[in-house]
Amino acid sequence: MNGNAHKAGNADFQSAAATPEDVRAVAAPGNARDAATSDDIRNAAVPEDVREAAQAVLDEFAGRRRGMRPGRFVPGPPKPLREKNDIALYLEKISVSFDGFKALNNLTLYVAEGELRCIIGPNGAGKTTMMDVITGKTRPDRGSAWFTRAYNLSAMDEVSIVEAGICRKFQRPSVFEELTVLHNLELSLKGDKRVLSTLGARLSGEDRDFSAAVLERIRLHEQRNLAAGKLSHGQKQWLEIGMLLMQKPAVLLLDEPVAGMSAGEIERTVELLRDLEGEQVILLVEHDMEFVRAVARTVTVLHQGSVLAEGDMDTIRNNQAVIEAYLGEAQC
Amino acid sequence: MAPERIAAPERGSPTPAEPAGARGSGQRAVPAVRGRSPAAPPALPEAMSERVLNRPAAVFLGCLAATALGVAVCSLLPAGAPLRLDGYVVSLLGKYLCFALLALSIDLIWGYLGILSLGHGAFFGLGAYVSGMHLMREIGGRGVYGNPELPDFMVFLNWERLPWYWRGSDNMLFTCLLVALVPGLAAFAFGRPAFRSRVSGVYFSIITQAVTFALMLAFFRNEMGFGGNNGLTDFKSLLGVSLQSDYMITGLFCASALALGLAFILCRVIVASRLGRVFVAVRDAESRARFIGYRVENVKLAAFVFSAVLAGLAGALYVPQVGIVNPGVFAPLFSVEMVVCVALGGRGRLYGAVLGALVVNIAKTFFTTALPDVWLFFLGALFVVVTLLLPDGLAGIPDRLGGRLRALRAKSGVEI
Repeated sequence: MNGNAHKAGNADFQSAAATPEDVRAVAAPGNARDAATSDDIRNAAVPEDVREAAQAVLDEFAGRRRGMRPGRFVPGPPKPLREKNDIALYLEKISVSFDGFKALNNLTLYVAEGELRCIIGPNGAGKTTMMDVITGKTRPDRGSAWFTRAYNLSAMDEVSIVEAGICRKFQRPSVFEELTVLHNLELSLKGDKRVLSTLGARLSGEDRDFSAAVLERIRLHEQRNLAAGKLSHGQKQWLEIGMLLMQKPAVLLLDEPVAGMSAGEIERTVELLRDLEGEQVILLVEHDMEFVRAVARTVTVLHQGSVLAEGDMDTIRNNQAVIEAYLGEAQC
Repeated sequence: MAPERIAAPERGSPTPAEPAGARGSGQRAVPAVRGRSPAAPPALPEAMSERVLNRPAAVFLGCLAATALGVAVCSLLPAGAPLRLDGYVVSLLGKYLCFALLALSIDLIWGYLGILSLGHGAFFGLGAYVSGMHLMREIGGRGVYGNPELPDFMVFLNWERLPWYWRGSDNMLFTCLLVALVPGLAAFAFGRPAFRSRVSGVYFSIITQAVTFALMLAFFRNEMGFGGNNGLTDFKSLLGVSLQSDYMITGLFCASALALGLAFILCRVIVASRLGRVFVAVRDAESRARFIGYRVENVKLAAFVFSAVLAGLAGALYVPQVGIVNPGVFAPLFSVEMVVCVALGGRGRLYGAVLGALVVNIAKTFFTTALPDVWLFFLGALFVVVTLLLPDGLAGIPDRLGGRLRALRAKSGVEI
């Protein structure tokens, strides 16, 4: 019923035959915020524009929603446009700008369930900003980010996003240096993380076995009682990945996991990633092309905040636009 | 879009044997992981949680109990006995213990959670005023003006009746409740917006300083109904027992020692639990802690409120032993001095804060009576010496000596 109504709605919109100016007024970011009314939405012609206008209305409401009394109507956020069951992560038409600099510009990206996706791109292409948007660290100015069709990421705070199963490894290895490796993992364990439950938390036998399994997987079993600050750079990177695994994530975001690693360590990280592949979505941002070539199946190239090309590594390497983007940077 | 399984021959669907073989090659590269069975992961023998009463904690509690017991016994000896402690000395020691409790509360949030409050005197002061109000009401008709209902300063100001917030202050139980509630609620009301908007570091310290300063100015005003500049004083008795009697003095001292001991154990329970490790995690890598799912603002708020309650308790015990509370407890200098105590004693150890508070305040009493001009120079010198030579504070000395000793032993062992 719902799907049909959607299609029927499209036909209606087209028959309403809005002037192109109207449509543009709704779609333009600046105007949409001020001018979007239900009439604009009704008059808009293309579903994308309907969504954008609806989003603008929502954005306007978002600020006031907290002050609203319960029971008053709050329009639900629009669901993602594409309807495909195997898509885990929807990023649609996302724009983020910092002081006029467009870090992300109309970025649209879909990642399928169980996929290992590599994101590459020259410096400033918006790779880290994209991760910030997914994890709730940065709010997109426009566009929507959804994890499956159940979680609207742009309306959730960081902790709720983590609870939904999206875990992130930072660009710089970030572990709790004064705590032992084992305690780092213990803190990351999936579970109730409210203050009082943490105060009384004990490690169950099951959790112990799981910790041991993760330790084995990240090859830090011998170092488990060492303070994390004493680990080598590469080992810290693994520990951080291990901390993410402790949370039994649905999506792993890895920001430059092999930065600063020796060749041997990179090789073992490749093994680790292959080992993890398929269990969860992995989104990998990396500069190291050798590494990307070794693990990637699908590669997305970002350039100036939007997707430049997408495909397997060989297609990407022969893509003229990609070559220009990288060479252009090299010449600077 | 389904993931394209490109280059399937070398990568597609690894057989179970493949990763094991790959791990084998990994072992050769890094000696640290050699000797590990590639099959089932070995079990973890570790007891993951720390013991609440580890050795330093047990030693500290033992020392505290022994000292308190010794002082209590000596203070109750008949007058003229060789080891008898004067009431004045016992009250003074009790006051030190109250400062130690305040320092402990600062160390819990500063040493473990990295929240530097330069205004913890505010919570100490609130607790002190709550207990001062009760003592004031207990004077009753024995005051200078002999008014059975109103404290002297209100009679002096020509007030007709008690302000509403003085109601119930004659009830001991209610006062005990307020001693915990008032500083706790104040900390909640201040901490919640501050931590929610992620105010931290120096900014937070400055705001706490401003808060305690504002409270000081407010309490200086006569209209507030807390005795203005003079504060609350001229207390006579508590629970019907004169504050000057030996039993009351000893009792208050023992109560302070007990409060310090219990607070120490509670802090140890927190610090040794998983929550304590979350504290350290938040201190060292706040955003990492947030991104593994901890609501950092709630963790900070809970610790801050608990710490404020301890500070309030310290203030409440301080007043009957000193006999006066005035807006001076809200002075920023007092709060800063307590932070200096924690730094001198060594933060992040709990007993270090107690040690620092005792050393500094005993030195302060000595110098301000014997050599008043030298005191501030001494405090400054102490601070410089500790910062330069003992980065872990006074409590870090045994560790450092132990480390030296071990190093020496290892060296001689090698030479032999």
